[in-house]
Amino acid sequence: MKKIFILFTLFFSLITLAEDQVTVFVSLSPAGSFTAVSKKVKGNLKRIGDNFTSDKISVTVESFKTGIDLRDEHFWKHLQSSKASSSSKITLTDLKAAVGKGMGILEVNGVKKPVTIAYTTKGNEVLVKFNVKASEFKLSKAEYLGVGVEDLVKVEATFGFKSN
Amino acid sequence: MKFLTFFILLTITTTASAYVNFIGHGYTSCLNCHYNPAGGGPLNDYGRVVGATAISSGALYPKDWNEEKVAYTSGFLFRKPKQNWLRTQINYRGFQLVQSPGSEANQTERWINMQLDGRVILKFGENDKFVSVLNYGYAPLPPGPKIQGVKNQTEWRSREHYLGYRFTPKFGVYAGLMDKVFGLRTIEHIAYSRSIPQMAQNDQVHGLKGHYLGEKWEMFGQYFVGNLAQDENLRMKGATGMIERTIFDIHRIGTSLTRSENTFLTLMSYSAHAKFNLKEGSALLGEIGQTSKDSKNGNTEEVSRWGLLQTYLRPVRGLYVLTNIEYKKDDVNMEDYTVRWGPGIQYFPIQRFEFRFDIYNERNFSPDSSTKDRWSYLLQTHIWL
Repeated sequence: MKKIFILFTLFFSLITLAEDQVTVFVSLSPAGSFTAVSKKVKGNLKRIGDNFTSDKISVTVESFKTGIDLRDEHFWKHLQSSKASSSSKITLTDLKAAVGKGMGILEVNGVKKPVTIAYTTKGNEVLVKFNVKASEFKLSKAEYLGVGVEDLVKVEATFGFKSN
Repeated sequence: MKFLTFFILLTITTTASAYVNFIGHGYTSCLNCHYNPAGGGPLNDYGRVVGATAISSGALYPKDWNEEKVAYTSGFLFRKPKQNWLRTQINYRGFQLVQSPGSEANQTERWINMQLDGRVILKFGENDKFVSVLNYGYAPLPPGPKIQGVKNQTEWRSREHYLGYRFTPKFGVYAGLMDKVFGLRTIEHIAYSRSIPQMAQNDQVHGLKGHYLGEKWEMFGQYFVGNLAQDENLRMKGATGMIERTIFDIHRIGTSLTRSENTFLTLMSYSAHAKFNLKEGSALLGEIGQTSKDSKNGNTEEVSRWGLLQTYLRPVRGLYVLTNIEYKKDDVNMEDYTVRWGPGIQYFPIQRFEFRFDIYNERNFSPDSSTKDRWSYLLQTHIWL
């Protein structure tokens, strides 16, 4: 019985363990969608009182998986298509947030833009949501054999945080 | 037994096959991969690449092939077409049908060449806004002597031929011989949801179809005058419509309504369906519907109901594990009903090849008794070039 209890506790702990993750929701044209998911997020999110801050959160472009290998390759190439892009990372810097809203600087394809985020917390996890337009990051309209990608992209990120 | 073979032969084939379960790959609409926005028939270039790089297993490709190379070889004759206006395809399906397996007295088995099609597609304009599709091929006639008084009983015929024009990416019109739009176009035309409302593989009609594809909504309306290759008194004339809505970004729900009639019969069907994306290529499909069949000669009306639930689970690329549960009640005023269920495996070892194994168990239930189980299995081969 003791072993079963330990196993159950271990299993429950594993499935409820916070895992940092970034999910990009991409709509296709004429129809459909896909998600690109990366679980290789680096950086720290700190909570001080009711405020959240982070100097830098980053994820490598090549860590995103879309469910189709060919689409992965196209996704990675597209996110680094500008000559201005010297890094294969997507970064969110100078993040400051409180009362469910915040701002940070998002860098994609070598282009930095301020983004407004919304967030909710659950335990030691925070779920961040924001929308971006690909064209604002000098990403040209993506299309492959007649199937294109909509300009507006939704991003959701789950981070564990440390309280100070 | 002959009738049962004939029935399965009629219903199992997938002349204009569609894979509704590919909503599990994020494709809510058929238009991404097919020239026909309602699905079925020839794949477009994108559909062929998806077939090669997402649907088919990558295990058998040479190790030095990357996914771009795999995509490149998805075209006809294993290469990328050199022009944009002409596409050709060849499609074959055949299967081994085994009924009452294991029964010394009743087991029967036979190989059936179900379909051999040649397809020619002409397409012009931005995003193929004008398409012309001709799909001509072989389909076996039912066993036994030809039916007296019915013309054009030939094994070679046009499966579909139509012209399509998309005025905008959201709206297109199609005219010619096409499948009727109704409910889930499941790959199994043996499904009660296809056979009872007469939406199976040989029920194409000449007509005009409008298609709207919005951000959340997709709608079809189709007016038809029957299959002009049939005798006039047999042609089912009428209209059909289907509306689907995307919910929670990745799932779809929809409803369909159709009415048609000829000299002998009036059919009216309606259904509701749902397609759920379970991610990573897996999907859950469901449909319920009702058909009323009004016989003009006998002045009788029969109302039938059906239900369909299918799961497609994709443990690895190229492999789909199926579960199929179906229900039908031929006459809602009677208490008899039939349940058919069974597992299946669908495997795409490499692009251009699909192998499928299905087991079917069917039983009729009534308040007083139930028939013995009827078992059968199918080994299906599908090759497209």
